[in-house]
Amino acid sequence: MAELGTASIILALALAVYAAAGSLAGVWWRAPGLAISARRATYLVALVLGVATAALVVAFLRNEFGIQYVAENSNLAMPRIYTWVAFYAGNEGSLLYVAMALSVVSALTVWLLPRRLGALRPYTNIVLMLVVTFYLVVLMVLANPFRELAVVPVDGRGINPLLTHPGMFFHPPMLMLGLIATTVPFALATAGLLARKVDDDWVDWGRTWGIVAWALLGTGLLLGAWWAYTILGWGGYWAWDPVENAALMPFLGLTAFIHSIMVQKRRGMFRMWNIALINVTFGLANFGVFINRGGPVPSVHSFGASTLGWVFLAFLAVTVVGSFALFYYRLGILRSAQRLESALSREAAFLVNNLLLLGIAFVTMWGVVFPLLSEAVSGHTVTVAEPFYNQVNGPLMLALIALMGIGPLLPWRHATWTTLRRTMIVPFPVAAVLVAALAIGGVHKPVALLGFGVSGLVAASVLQEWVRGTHARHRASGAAYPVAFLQLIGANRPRYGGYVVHLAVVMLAFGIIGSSFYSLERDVILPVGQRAAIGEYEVEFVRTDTERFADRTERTATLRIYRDGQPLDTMTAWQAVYPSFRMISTRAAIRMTPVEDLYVLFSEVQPDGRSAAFRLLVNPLMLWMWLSGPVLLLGTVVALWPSRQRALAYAPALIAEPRVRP
Amino acid sequence: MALAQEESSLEARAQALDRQLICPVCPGETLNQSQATLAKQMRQILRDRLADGQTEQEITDYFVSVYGELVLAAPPKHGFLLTAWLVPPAALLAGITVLVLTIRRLRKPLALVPAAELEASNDVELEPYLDLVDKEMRGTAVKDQPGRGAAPWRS
Repeated sequence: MAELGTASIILALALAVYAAAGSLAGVWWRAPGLAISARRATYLVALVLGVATAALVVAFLRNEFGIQYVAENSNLAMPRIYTWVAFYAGNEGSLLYVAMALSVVSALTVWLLPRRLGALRPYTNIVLMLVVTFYLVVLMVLANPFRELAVVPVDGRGINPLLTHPGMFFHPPMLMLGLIATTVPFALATAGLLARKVDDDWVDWGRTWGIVAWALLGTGLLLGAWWAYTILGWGGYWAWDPVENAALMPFLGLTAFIHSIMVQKRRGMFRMWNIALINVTFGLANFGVFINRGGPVPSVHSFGASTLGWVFLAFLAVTVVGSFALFYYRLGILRSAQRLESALSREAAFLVNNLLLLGIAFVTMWGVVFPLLSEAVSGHTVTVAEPFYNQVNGPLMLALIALMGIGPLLPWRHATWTTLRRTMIVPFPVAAVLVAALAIGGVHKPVALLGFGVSGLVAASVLQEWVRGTHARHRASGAAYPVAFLQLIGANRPRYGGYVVHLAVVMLAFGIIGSSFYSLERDVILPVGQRAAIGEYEVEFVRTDTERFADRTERTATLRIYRDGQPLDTMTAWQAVYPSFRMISTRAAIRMTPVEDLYVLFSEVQPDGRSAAFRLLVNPLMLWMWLSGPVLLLGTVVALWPSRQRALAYAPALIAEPRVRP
Repeated sequence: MALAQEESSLEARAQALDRQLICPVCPGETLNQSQATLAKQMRQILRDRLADGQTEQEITDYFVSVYGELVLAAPPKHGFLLTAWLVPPAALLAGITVLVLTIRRLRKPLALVPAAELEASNDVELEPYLDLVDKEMRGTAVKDQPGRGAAPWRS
């Protein structure tokens, strides 16, 4: 397998170089045959990297410990099902996954581009294949997953116990896929610049791929939060860890991008800004890769190989400088087709949206970078963690949610007071009533009330749109209300998909507000048979069961839950001690209801063997956070679903004072 | 077995303090998050001190004197480290300024060159652009057929 794997990587590299060079030659020498052949090479790259991936997976399945990567990330005792996870558990394997994912996405992108966008195809191919080439060179020279050991060990080290969790089947691959998929809208935008296009040809597919990358990255982040919540043992889901932040920043950039691209699609505006924005987003994605694998900042997550760090830093520098140089060079041909008619308009609201999202990204970046800066400039070693981000990003996020409620109520071009009154007359009072009801009902923390208020505003404005739209359709076409509603969605998929996604964000906000402000926590040492109280629950430690395996000892604690004295439920909390990794892996017992989670973490068994340490938590509204994931995906699918009618592509390219550069 | 009122408020203060201190041997984990032995010891120390009557500031100062400033979960708001807190609002202000200026600039009418001038200039380089405009206009006319329902982009 090692020879097959290494050979595949080399072959893929050769094909990728040919694909990039062939596309370039095809445009320069006007040889469409070359460009077509280069496209076919792109498809082959994906195929060959698929073979390399298969080779590594098979090597794991056959326990080929002669391959260093297999020996480091699996052992004979590892259940077969974790093979997939072990594949990307380490640096080299995950780089192979990234290269493979990018090659597949590139092949798809190039294949899907229609003939009418012919000018863009070769340039898109060049950019995508250049990035693939970079990853393949790194793989071949610095991080070959098929490197062999001189002496074949009898058994491997085994998989990191923190990874033996269902979430690990999806979180890393989705997250990495989302990050690498950011390359596609970047490639499309760059292709437009390289091809000297003055119009908005790239925007259709730029938007589609932007949304796809965004959805993948968002789902990856949410899955990571779920994994942290159930396995890391502190009852939280986000720690503003540098690697988490590194994935969050491009996500924020993509969010800004998919909003402002709408303005370009509809009105031909923001042409320059969108290119700059996608350049920044791609840069942030590469910065994320650098942080993840370079390790200048310590983190729970990082792979921490230091030579690799310099390489990724160099790649980041080259792509940022190169993309902005091209942008500056082509600035003359990018002109807006329309002017902004009013500061009180949806276009302007999108600008504010971009400001807030990039503001949050900036604060996050600042928090990641400040410790290094402080050390370098003043010698102070400091930490920037949760309290900083809560105080600084918190208000920005509140403002963003408020904007999410107000923005869709603003009409395009410009708003008159009459239209504003009509659209805002319902949502604002509803939100105010909600806040008052909550305050009366016992919610007194002002920030929490504000958070619920703006979330309520969003929900109310979305529901208002749905009700009014359905009613109008019903009046116009006579269809029954449910049918009218479905027709409404069908005729306005991007918009209504967007509304569903906004509702998902509201659900996420509910979970964050509930758990941040109203959670209860208690650490106790419980003897067998005793109860501990938290909130309105009592948790009784019934017994422990122990099971020994070759590489670990598993303990299960059975707990009985009481509420108001009455028995409510039985739960089990689980832990496994891995002596070879010196690590304990835990699975919390979680009882989820729409109102709150009861969370019990089984910590250490005391030396006397008859009592154990537990962490008890009551986390309100967490279920809503996890439910937001499927709702977000549903909204994405609706927004991207192609309609039979061809979308009105773009505003005619009105050009002001054309300045033609030779 | 409800906690006594005083105990529970002490515990609430302790939990809040847990979130403001970092475990020195863990990569960036607060005392609340960390499972390390040292973190557990620190949590116990701070609870004992709170029960003794010390304030949060005194306890924080104690830990800083033992482990250094990196034990604080956020930079203290004085001296050079105050810049950590000042830069974000400054950046936001800069961003708002840029936004306002951009909105002003985008609102200015586009300087469209009158058609007569264009033809008179007989600029060969403009031809491809004029062709493009013609093509667009023709293309839009075809697409703009009245059909059932509005185009998906119209509300």
